[in-house]
Formats: sequence, structure tokens, C-alpha cells
Amino acid sequence: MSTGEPLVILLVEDDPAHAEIVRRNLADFRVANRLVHVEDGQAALDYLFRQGRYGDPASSARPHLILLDLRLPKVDGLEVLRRLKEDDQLKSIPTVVLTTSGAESDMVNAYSNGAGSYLVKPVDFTKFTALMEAFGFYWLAWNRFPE
Amino acid sequence: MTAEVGSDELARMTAAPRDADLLLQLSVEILGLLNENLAFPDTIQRVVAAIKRRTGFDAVGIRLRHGEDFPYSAQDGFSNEFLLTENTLHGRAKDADICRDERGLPRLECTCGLVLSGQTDPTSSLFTAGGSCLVNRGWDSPGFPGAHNDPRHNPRNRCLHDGFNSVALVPIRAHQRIIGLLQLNDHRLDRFTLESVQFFEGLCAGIGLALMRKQAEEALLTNKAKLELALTSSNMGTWQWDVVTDKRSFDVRTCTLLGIDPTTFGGTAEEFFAAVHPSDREAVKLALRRTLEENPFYETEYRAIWHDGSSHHISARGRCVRDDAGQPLSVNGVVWDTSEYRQMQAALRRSEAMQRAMIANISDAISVIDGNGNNQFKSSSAGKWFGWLPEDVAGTPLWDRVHTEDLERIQAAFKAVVAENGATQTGECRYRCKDGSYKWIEYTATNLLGDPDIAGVLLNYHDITERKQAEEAAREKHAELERFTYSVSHDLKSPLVTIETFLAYLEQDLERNDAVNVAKDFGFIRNAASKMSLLLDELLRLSRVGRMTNPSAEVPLLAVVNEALNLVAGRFAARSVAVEITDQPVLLYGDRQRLVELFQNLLDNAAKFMGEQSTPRVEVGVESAEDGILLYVRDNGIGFEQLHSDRLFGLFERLDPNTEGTGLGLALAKRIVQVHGGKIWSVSDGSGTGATFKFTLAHTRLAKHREGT
Repeated sequence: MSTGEPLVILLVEDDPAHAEIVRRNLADFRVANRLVHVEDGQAALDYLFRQGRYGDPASSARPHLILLDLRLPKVDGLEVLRRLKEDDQLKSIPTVVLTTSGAESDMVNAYSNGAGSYLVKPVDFTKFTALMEAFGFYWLAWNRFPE
Repeated sequence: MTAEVGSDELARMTAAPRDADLLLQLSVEILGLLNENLAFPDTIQRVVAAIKRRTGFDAVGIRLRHGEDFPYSAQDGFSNEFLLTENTLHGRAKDADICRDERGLPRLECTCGLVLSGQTDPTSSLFTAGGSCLVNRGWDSPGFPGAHNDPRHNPRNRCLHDGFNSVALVPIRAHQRIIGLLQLNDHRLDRFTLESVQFFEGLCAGIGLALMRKQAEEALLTNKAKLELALTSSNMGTWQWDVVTDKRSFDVRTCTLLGIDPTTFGGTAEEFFAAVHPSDREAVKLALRRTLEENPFYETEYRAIWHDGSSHHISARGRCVRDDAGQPLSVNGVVWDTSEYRQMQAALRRSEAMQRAMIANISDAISVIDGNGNNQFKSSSAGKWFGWLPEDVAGTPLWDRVHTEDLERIQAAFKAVVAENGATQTGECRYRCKDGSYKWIEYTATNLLGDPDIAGVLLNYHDITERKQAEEAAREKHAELERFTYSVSHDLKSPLVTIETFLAYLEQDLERNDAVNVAKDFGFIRNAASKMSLLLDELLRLSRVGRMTNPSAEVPLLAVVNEALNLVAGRFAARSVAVEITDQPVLLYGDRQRLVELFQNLLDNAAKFMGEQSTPRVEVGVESAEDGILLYVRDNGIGFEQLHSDRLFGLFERLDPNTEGTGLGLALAKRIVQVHGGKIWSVSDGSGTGATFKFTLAHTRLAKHREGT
């Protein structure tokens, strides 16, 4: 567990309410983390590839972890996943899909495009909280990231 | 030749009146016999018997031609030994072949031979001017060379050898040809005089003629019998019209065929024509006249009407017989009934016509192809569906018209069918029509190579393009439904998640008295709830668009746009959007309510995406395109990246999540456009340069005069 820089998590989520949920959950976490929220696929790509309004590397710190929703405006979640997994520099960033869709085809597509994990947003609040807690524990407390 | 007059001669002369009487009676009897209706061999036999009886000669015989020889047709008085050698007049060489002269004709031996060949010497006292041979004194007859001298008569002349001292050989002639001879033999001397021989010559002339006539009669009878048989078998009747006397002879069959009573038929023209159908009489008369005047062969068809009123089709054929001057003597011919034949023909024609009509009009096309795939027959119905006429494809291989992508499959199927007699294959493929377009067909191929009537592979196939299109449309609809359901479930689930979660957060925040967060929580909840409500509303509208509840009518563009503007007035005012509408007198055609909705969505969309534009403007206009009138709604708002343009119309798609709306508006617009037979697409140069939504609607037109609202 690193005690220095906070872990950067890139949250790609178009629904502001859902982004709020994730933010609230992770904000309470004892492991320091900085949540970067982008609202569509194009913005996600811009951030990751440091282009467009994210041209300045200072404003686009390389994330340690990506939380990715599948249904995104402008550029689809799967497309984002595909692009980042094709890039030598970016493909090593673990990517967790967090989406409302439990469709088998979406799951298959996500995994075959390189997703590390697939989480379905529960409707039940308790469950969502539990999920976020577990998520936080696993990825931020237990999982190791390279420097 | 002068007969030597001797004492015996005198004795004969004094007996002349008795002889003359005898000869007269003989000639009467013989002529009577010849005229009797007896069979030929019997007649000859009787003639010989009569002569022998009346003359008292020892032996009488008649030789007649039989092949190349002249055997005795009848004889009375000759011994068997005599006949054994004398019956044939042919000389045979050592190797038993018949001796022939330089003309190839067989040599006839003996004096008989001389007489028969007409080579008698009239200067010799042995022969008469009429070609007869006359011997009264055996070997010592005047003019007779000694038996030992003339090798020709040795070993012949059996007559003399046998002691017949009086021999007369009289040729029997018919039409100047010698057809036989009458032989009169007697042992006594001096039986014949020149006069008596000349009498017999005359008699023989009569016999010759009568014989000829008899033979001809017999031949005629035989032929007649054959003809009768032929006519009876074929039920043909014979008739004759004697032109000179204008009398008609009909055999029984002819009468029967024409419905005439044979027992009362008088042979008059009236009776005949009465039997002919009134409409056909002129034609028959004309044909007869023509036969008489120009064409010797008579041919006609007519109807005979019987007493019971029934009509029978008759065919008549005949020939005109003329005299030496070319004048018509009679017309002879045959008739037969063609009614049955005609009926069969008519039935056959009807059946053929029906089958042809069936094949030409069935919805299937039918072809027959040979074992190599070449077309042997194509029904005319194929022309209707695919444009091909039978002559276009005759002899050409089937593969020429199968789509290249289906070719391999079809050839494999063909091979499978041809492999087994009676095998059937069914399938689908693309088939090229005459105009070059392709249609999907479903075919059935049946192997009938072994059936002698078809001797090929029978194909019947029909156009299933419509069905395929329907299948495709159904598949697409299904896919769309799936996409729709997927979208809906996600987009309803999302706000639900929000509501649930923030209600929980709300609980927590209320407990903690965190007013700021409480307010935020309420905000999120309310937003989510209203989003769901809006979504459901628009889903309902979307489902209604598919059903055109209102009848289509023409409605001016201006009226529609103004109504739509009323509905979006709030947003337009809030954003101060200026509106420009074309003044072209455009007339739209469709469901007015839906058309208003269409413009409402487009205008709403335009206003929503004005972004930071300080002078927001929306323009509704028309453009003329090659295939009709193009309508457009243009804004100068934020626009979009062209590469995202095709996602715009997707259900629930929103390019910018920060803007309001469910993302259904454009999907709704697209559905309305499609239902009205049009297309919609969007154009934008990029962010900040505005967007134009172009679309077509079927039956849009410009009015002649400007319409009011």
C-alpha cells in the first residue's frame, strides 16, 4: 500500500447521479484516491490519450484504475475499452466495467475486449453500497499497483 | 395353199352340208358355254368335251399359255404316256436347262411349237394362211418331210408316232397374240378340209377372246372382292355420278353414310342434295363443277343430314373419267364419315388449349431441362414472371441464369437429382430475369429422365422475392425490437438505480442533518423520476406513430410548422430563437397530427442544442432534389461531429448527457418520416457550426398558388 500519491481512478459515466454515487462511496474510503469523472466516451479517450482539452499532461494524470460504463454518448464504452487495450502504454491499466446491463452479449464483448472485471449496478441501495465497499477494498486496499 | 382334190376330197365335199350343220351347232354350243358364268377351267373342259362329242374326233385338247410353257389346259382322248412327254413343249439340254433362242425365249418344240410361235410357213401345204397345221395322211401327208429327215421333228411328233393320221393344230389368238392352240387328233385319214380348219380358226378366235374376257373377269372379281373387303373394313362407300345422264349410283354403304334409303334411292341429283346440309350444297356443287372443268381430282367435305336430324361430317373423294375427246363421262369416288374423327380432333384441341392456358397462367413457371442442364421447354408463364420467352432460353444451360453465388449449390443439387430416377430436390436461389434483375425463386426439381413423355428434369419454380423481403423486414423488425427492449430496459433501469440509491442517501443525510446533501439528494431523485416519466411518455408516442390513425390528406407546410411552433413556444421564447420559414407554397401529404409532431421534435431539438449561440436562429426550408422536394430544419447551435451523425437517430441516444431530453425525440422524428415514405439524415460541419436535418416525405409538392394557413 502506497502512502504517497493518491490512486487515480478514471470514472467514465454519463449519468451524473450514478457518478455521484460512486464518488460518495469512494470518498469515504480510507485509501486515498482521486476520482476523475468524464461523461462520455470521447472525453475518456481524450483524457487517456492526452488530446483535445486534456492535452496538458498535468491535467491528465495516468489513472491506476478505470471504471467504465458501457453505454456512453459520443463514443461507446466498448470502443473506449478496445482502443485503450490496443495501446501499448494504456493496456496495462486494469479496467472494470460498471454498468446497468446484465446482458450476456455485453459481458462477452467486454471480456473479449480486455475488461478485467464486470460489475452490474444493483438497483438495491444496500447492495450497491456493499458492492462499492467490496470494490474499494479489493482494488484500493488489497490490489497492488506499480508506481 | 391349194388342197389337192382327190376322191376322198370329193367324198368330203359331198358330206359338206352335214358338216356345215354340225359345225354350226358346235359353234352355238361353244359360244353358249363361253358366255356362261362358269369358272375358267370348267369352261375349257366343257369346250373340249363339246368339240369331241360333236366332231367325234379321237382326241381333242386345248393348250394355253402357262408361264413360258403351253401345257394342256384341258384334253380328252390323249393317253397318259402321251401327256407325260407332250404336255411340255420345252426342250431341255443335257443339263436339263430349257433351250432358249437368241431372244432368250424358250424354244417350243414340235409342230405345236411352230404353230404357237407363229412361225409356220404359209407356202407349205402343211400350214394354212391362218397359221394352222393340217395333216390328213400321217407321215404321207403332202408337204411333210420324212420323219427321219427333219431333226426338229425327231423324236417329237408323237401324234404321228402314235398313229394319229389326221392332226389339226389351230392357234387360239387374243388381240393378235397367240395364247394357245386347239388340237384335234384322229386315227382315221382325211378328217379335215381347209374349210373345216378355217371354221375352227374362226371358232378359236372366238374362244381366244372369250378366254381373255373370262380371265379379265376373274381378275376383276378377285379385285372386286379385295376392294369390297377394304371398303367394308374402313366403312367407305363408293359412288358414281354419270355426268351424261346425271344419274348417281351409290352402293349401300354410301347410302347409309348419307342417310339415304338404298331401296328407294332413284339416283337423282335432288335426292343427293337433299341429304346434304343446305349451307354445304353450294360448296359441293362448286367442287363437282371444278372437277369437271379443270381439276380431275374431286375433294370435298360436307355435312349429311339424316332423317332424324342428326348431322354427320362426310369426306368425299373422286376422279373424273373422260372419253377420248376429253369430255367428262362420269365422276367415280368414295365417301366416308369423319364425324367421329372430327369430334376426337375437337376434343383433343380443347384439351390441348386448356392445358396450354393452364400452363400459361399458373403462378409457377415450368421448365424441362435435359441431363446436361440445357433448357428443352419453358412455359409461357415464365415470361410473365421473369421476362424470358421460351425461344430466348431454348437449348441454353440453366446455369446461365443462376446467380454466381448460388451456382455451386445449384449445380450440386442438380447432380443429386439426376443421380436417381424420380428424385426430387427443393431449394431457393437467385434467378436472373430478362431485364437483368435478380429475383429469389423457390424451385422443385423432379427427375423424369426415365419417363418417355418428358425425358428430362422437370422444374417448377416461383418468385419468392416478396416473401423474402417480408422475411427480411420481419427479421429487421425483430432486431429493432430487441434493440428497443435492450435500450428501454437499460434506460429505465438507470433512473431507477438513482432513485433507490438517493433515497437511501437521503435517509442518511436527513439523520445527519446534512442539508446540502439532502437538497442534492432530492434533486437527483426528482430528476430521475421525471426522466422516467418523460421516457414512458415518449415510448407511448413512438408506439402510436406506427399506427396511422388519421387518414392522410394534403396540408400546407406553413400550417404544420406554425402549429409545431405553438407547441415549442415556451422553449423558443426562453432562448429567444428566431424562426425563418420558407415562403414556397409547399403541400405535405400525410397524417397532420404526426407531421406536427415531426416538426415539433426537430424544432425542439434545434432550440435545445443552441448552446452558447447569442443569436439563435432556426430555419425551415425546402430544396429541390433530383427525385423530389427536400425539406430541412437548420439551426446555428452547437452542431455535432459528423462522424457521430448516424447515432443521432438511435433510441435514447444523446450526444451530450448534460442536455435534457430522453434522446427519443429524433428517433420519433425518424419513425414519423419513415411511416410517411421518406428518409431523414443530419448534416453538421462540427461543433459550434450548427446542424441541418434534411428529410423527404412522399407526395410532397408545390401548390400552383400560394395557400393560406
